[in-house]
Amino acid sequence: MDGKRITELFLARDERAITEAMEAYGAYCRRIALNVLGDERDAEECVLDALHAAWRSIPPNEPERLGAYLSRLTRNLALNRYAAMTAEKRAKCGASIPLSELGDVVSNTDDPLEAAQERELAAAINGFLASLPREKRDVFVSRYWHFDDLKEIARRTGRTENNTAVMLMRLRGKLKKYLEERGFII
Amino acid sequence: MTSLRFAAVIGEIDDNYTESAVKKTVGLRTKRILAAAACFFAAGLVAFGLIQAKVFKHERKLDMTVSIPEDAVLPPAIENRPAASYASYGTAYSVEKAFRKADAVCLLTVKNFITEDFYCSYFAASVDRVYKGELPESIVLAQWLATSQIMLENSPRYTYGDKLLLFLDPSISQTFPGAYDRVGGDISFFYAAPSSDGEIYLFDHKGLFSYNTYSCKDDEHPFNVRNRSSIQLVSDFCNYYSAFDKPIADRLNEYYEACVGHETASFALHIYSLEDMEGYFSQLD
Repeated sequence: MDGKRITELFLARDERAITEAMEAYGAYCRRIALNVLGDERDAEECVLDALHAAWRSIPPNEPERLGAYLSRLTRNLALNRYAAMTAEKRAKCGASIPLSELGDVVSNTDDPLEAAQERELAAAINGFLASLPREKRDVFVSRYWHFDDLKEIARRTGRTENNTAVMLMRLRGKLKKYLEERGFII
Repeated sequence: MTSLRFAAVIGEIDDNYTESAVKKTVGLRTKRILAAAACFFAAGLVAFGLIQAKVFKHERKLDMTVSIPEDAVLPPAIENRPAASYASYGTAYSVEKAFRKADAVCLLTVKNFITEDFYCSYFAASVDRVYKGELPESIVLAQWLATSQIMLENSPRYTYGDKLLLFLDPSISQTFPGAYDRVGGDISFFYAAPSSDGEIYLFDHKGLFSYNTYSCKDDEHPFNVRNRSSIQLVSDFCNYYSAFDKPIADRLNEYYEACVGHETASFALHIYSLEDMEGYFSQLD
């Protein structure tokens, strides 16, 4: 069943929406959650939480692309769960590697005032991604949105792992410079 | 901002980008085969000067051609034996320790000789690639214990055209307060050179950097960069440096002469691919 039809089930409060969404998007969402959390059971729970969050939010939301909506919910819930597990020192490998790479771009200090600039920051990151050739953009998004590991990205793009790692290192440098030129101090 | 928070902000990017990254699996190999075939065809057309095609993009390659301008300022030749000479100096760093210790790590090309004081020679250098820290396009590079008064054995003074991978800290020299000097002295850096097939390699001219790296047991990331020593590569480097840096070319020729006819001998000259080394750097924080 396609995303539009499943969204109509959500809007009609038909409980088949959840099973259909799980069938259509469950594997994709599970992969994102597993990349972050590193544990099958935690990932499965996270996907179920995302579907229930979708049930509570559609309506009033009416996403144009249900797959993107569910994957975003899953990613945010997974990161929240990861943050809680890290605080409790229970985190497994999961997203720790790409997060430490992002330390190249940010200062890693906590400043509540920065929350105010997050919307602008997201727009700036979109601008940066728009400036990239498609292949490099896909590699960046695979690593830092989907948290795919280097081996998987290299296999998908036909590059070596070394080459992929070097590409990502340069992209992080370019992103940092791009954001600094636009006045972001992060 | 923490990395976790930044990762959450990245989550807000355009859905088109997130979906595009997922769609790449099916059909990519077919697209690459077609792109390679189109590139081959386009290359033929370019040869006849009919079109300039850009079928798929390459990363910008390092320019390894050496062109010494007529007005290049070379370091003066050392006519008499210096007042003092030493075998070597520097701390026994591994590659990882040198990387972490350095303020900046880069690949650069030595340009004009500027001056020397009692301890130090100074050169202008253009920065080609930066792997750590931030550097301007041009820096002043200090080379300690490479002067007419003091020198190190088998550590030639740099000259115009030398391509070096260096681990740098601000120099303690008073002559040029903003200059950069090597972390770990004359044993912890690499010369770079192209092979005859165009790939770029690094060589550890004294072998001690490699020895210290292999000996080090407490690094977080094992040094898994393969030693690619071969007679052919030593010959390639010798030919490359013979055009502009005779002392290094002579040292390379000594290695070459020692190895000809002894292909199974383990080479004292440790050689690494630049791409492999860049991949190793990307693992280090």
